[in-house]
Amino acid sequence: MSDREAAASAAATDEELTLPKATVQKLISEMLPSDLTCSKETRDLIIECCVEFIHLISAQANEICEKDAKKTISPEHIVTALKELGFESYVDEVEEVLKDHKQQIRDREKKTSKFEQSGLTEEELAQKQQELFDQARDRLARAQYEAGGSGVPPEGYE
Amino acid sequence: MRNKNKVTKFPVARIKKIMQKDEEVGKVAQATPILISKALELFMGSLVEEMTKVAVQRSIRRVEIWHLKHAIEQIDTFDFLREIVQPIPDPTNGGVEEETSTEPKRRKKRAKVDDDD
Repeated sequence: MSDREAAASAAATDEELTLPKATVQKLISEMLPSDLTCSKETRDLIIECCVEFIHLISAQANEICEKDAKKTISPEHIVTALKELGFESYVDEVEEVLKDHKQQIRDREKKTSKFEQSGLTEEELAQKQQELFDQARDRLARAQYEAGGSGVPPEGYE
Repeated sequence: MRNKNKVTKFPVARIKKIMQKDEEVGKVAQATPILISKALELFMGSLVEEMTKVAVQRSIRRVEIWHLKHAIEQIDTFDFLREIVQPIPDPTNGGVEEETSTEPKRRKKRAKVDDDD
């Protein structure tokens, strides 16, 4: 093992595997009523609870995944885990997030395929864009002239 | 809840690392930590909500760890957290004693309750 690898594996200790304090603090402040504050100790304890929650759900989802004879923990395994552990009330919103995520992926694929389907190279597309810009500039110049803006008619104006 | 347009989110990559710290956990689909991030947000919300109830009940301004402990002890689904909070002492005896400020106590205050001996 090289020195760098050894340092990297040493860094992955318990202390490193926690959630960012600033993020958690911000969320707590957003969730608390405005007349309450939270001690730093409490914030750190909440972080511990959150990490424990991740382990709880992961372990349960992992069991479900194995029973399912799959090798990869899927979002569906997470949803089942939440139900089994008494967190059914979270399921609707969590499934919403899954729907949005799938939609984002579909949108991204549509954008890529639109480019591929246009049959044009990047250079050709850039040229088309420049033509559109030029046309728009001409239209603007005409409109300004007709509105009495500049005294000189634009090129080609009749 | 204030700030409905909040975009504060948990770091998804970090969640994945925390998941995989458990040696039993193998491969994880890309969407999975994203879902856990949402569940975590809701979980934190529940935790803070219960903690707030205890605080309001006791009319205090600053939430301390024993308030969180009390909240956890009241909710079944939070059973998995009991071990974490078990060692926390409650200086207010479960809310029976009046809570003073966080300055060091000089004298214990008695709650205004009739003592039934």
